[in-house]
Amino acid sequence: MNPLIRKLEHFVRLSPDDRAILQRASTERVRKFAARVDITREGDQPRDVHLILSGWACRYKQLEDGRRQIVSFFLPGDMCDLNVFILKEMDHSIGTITDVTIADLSREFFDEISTGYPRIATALWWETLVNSAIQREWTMNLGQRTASERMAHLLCEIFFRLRLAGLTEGTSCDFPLTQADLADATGLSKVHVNRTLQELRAARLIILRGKTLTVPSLERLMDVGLFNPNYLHMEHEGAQLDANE
Amino acid sequence: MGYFTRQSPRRGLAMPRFYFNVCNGNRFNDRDDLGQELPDRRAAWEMATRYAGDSLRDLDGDLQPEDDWRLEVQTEDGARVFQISIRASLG
Repeated sequence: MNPLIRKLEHFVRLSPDDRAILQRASTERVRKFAARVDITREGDQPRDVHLILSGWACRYKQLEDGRRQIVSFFLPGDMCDLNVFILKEMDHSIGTITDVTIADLSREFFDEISTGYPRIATALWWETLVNSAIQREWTMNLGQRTASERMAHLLCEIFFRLRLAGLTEGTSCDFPLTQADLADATGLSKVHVNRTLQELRAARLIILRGKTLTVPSLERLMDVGLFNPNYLHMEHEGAQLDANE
Repeated sequence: MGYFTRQSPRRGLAMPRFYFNVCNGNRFNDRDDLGQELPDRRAAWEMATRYAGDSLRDLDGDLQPEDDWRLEVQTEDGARVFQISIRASLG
């Protein structure tokens, strides 16, 4: 299933017309990127909204001496960022983690949505709000949680978001992040990341083999990470706008 | 090879491996079995100070008076390169 359609349907039931236009837009201007390259850089002029169709990417900011903060992860169905073309220049960079396929969505497409497809327009607002909620939760993560809580929380979030995207298999999922990525995302040193992952493994909260993550008990990992999924707003909150199929 | 034993590609000079061991008095002893490859001692020192700071923060009230928290950094041959110790005391 089209990952954007899948994602938006966690908010509202779309109509066949809704799905048709989203499907068209997601297949028209597709580009592929290799792993570990930039899709766009801080300072670039944004033109199109990039929809992730497959693979993992991240939003990051980097200081001149090379220190990097990963600010969020992008998974299939995520858009970087709705209406970004309103801005004159990018204040952050977007880089791939794995091979990534994106669809470029144009300003004209969003104009068409806002005039003809109110259900989609509202769903896109929901998507933006959820992204902001994720940033707030990351602020909490960096500001208040201990290293173990932070790591557990991040892994829970990734697992939940992958599950919503249909990318988990039982208790397992692909996990292409390196310890360097985790360090940049959690604001911990690589040594600390290493130790924290070891702790989580020793407590049998996670199994990490190769590029696969298994979470034997999501509930236990949520407890350790003080994780409450409410900020993902995935409980079909737009139900009153559902299409009558 | 597991997730944690990722090797850097050999590019002439291999990076030395450092081990970061944490002790907290008699209450807690955490040996680093895997270590971390870093370019040189200076990088290990920077990593150690960062790690010590973050760990101290995470003790979150678990630091008791007369506690003796220590981070030891060792090289592969077991030699101790340096340590950072934090001593809490009353009065």
